[in-house]
Amino acid sequence: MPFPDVKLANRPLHFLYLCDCSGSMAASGKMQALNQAIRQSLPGMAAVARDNPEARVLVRAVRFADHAVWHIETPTPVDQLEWRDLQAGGITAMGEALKLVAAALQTPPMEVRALPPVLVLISDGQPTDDFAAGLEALLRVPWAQKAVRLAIALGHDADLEVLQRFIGTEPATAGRSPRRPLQASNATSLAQYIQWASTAVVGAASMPASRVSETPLEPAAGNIPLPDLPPTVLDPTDDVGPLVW
Amino acid sequence: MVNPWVAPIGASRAGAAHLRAGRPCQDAVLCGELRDAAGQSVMLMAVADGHGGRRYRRSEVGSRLACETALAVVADALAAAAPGDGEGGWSRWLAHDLPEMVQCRWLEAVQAHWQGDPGEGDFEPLLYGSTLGLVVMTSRWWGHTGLGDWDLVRVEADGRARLLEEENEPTALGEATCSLCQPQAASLFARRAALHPLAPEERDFALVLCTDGIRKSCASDGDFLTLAAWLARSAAETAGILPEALDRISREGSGDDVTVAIGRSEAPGEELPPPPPAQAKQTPPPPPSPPAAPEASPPRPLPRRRRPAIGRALVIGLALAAAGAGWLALVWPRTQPPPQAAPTSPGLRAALAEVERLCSQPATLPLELRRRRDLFVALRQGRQDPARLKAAAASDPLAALIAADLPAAHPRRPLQALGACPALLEALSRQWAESPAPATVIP
Repeated sequence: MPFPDVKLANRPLHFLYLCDCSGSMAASGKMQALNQAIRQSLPGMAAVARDNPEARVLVRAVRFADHAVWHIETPTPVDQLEWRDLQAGGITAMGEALKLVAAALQTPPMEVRALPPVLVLISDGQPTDDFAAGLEALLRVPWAQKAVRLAIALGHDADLEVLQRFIGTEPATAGRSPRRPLQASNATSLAQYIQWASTAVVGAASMPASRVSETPLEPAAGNIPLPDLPPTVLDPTDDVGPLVW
Repeated sequence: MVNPWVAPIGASRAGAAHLRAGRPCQDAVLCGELRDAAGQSVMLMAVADGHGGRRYRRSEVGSRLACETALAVVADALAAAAPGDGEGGWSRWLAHDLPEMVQCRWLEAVQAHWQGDPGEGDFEPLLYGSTLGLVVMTSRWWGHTGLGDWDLVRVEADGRARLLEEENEPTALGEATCSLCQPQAASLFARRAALHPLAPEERDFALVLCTDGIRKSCASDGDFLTLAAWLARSAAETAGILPEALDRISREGSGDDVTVAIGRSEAPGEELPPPPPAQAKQTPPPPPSPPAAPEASPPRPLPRRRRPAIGRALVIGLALAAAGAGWLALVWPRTQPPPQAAPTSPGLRAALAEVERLCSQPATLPLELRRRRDLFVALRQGRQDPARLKAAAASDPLAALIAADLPAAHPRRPLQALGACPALLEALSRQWAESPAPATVIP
């Protein structure tokens, strides 16, 4: 008896960058470093995708300055992605960016059987709009609750509290510290964080293992056990680039 | 009374991703035929999915012990005596007594395994974490219970398939699922437990119980239900086809371990089941088979032995589907045509398109609505403004339709004017019935 005419499919893994493109990103080469870091991470991300054929890695990006707009709106297979440079200028409509992503994570268009998406928020400053409303809109969406949410703070002026609220709180577990925003102090550490998010994290999210829902009253905080950061990134003194933000 | 159930069959295969990573199959399946205190034959099928993470490094043992424990607990309960008050008693047993016994004995079993083969560190049940789905089939009723992300599909004789059970836990976010290793595991069975009396006129259907790897391999719920119907029909012909089919499902789909168990009830007058065994008999999964061919195999002649009625009917159903005859639409015909005038409002256009979409996929309707359970509850409890949702129909038409259908005093439902099919109205009604209204406050 022939196999039925059904569509079997690998599971889409949506990877979304939320990039701060405010005017301050133009200072000290931050914008240039971010563009370069993302561009350089793509081959590694494509290799991870090839190694995990059960996941279909699809990349999108939002840029936010005076307003939030899609930089890459169509979920694009990583091996077909050509990164166009982001430009800095304007203020920091981070809340608007979260609302834009919230709308994109609705089902539909999100597939019911997608893998938990990966959201990477990168910012060097403070939101100038209603961040709380944006975050509330985002976290109302089940796919955002299921997402792996990472935040990278660029330099000293980044609002760590806001970024912490974006990634949520996860208590310390045996051998692991509580999750915190990653703090990139120069182009090298930024590149390492982006590389880590686009390879190690994508690899972990591509083949998630089922796990216990911790308690019926308190949902587990982390949806995918995050892989360790590379040692050079863990120790900032080990890796000081030419320019410190 | 003759038990109409044919001995269930099952198979479990390591997923493509697990094979590549050198990990064992962490799923398990067990099908058995038991006897109750009156000597009647009772069928059982169980599937279990061991968690895959590093923290659950003995979950392949945990899932096997989950199935074995379930079978032992059911056998003991049947041999002891039937609960005093008929189906009500069995219903409570599925929801409460059996879960407590299963959890207790599973914990004993995994601890005994640890003591016999201690590993590094201390023993903790988490190491053996596993889900469990269980179906018990008797001559008068059948019932299911369990916990975790298993699915249960009922396939009718005419080929229609519908999802009866899925995990719908608010805490089961992402890849998280309920597990036997949780302290409160026994209390989690009740919401997955149900007993269904077996009426003489509906004794011609199949039940497909599977771990989440199968559903996650399908592009849509419609594909999943079609696949479940095909598995039921194929297994009725040749049990040996299951391993090959499961390998293909995992390879072309999620890459996860895949497991299915299939029970089948035959209408009276069809082929009688074999005589009951002298004692409990377990049916092991079929042996591994070589990898599946890349293309679907050509149609094979029907087996020589008389095929059961469900098999014939499924052939018709699947043939209709293959011919593009819209068999689902035939089963749930739309009786309310949509308005003829072209709407000008984007919101109304979106709402009409959503009605059209929902009614074209009646089998997945309950699932889609269940995913919006929070919205039903919020509307019921006045925490969401229906006017606001209706005004935003262009961006979220389903929410607008749900808001428009909020039960009101007037009997005519607005969605009827939008051409909502009976299946949509019925599914909405069912979801409203499951959404609690706010408690009445007595001053």
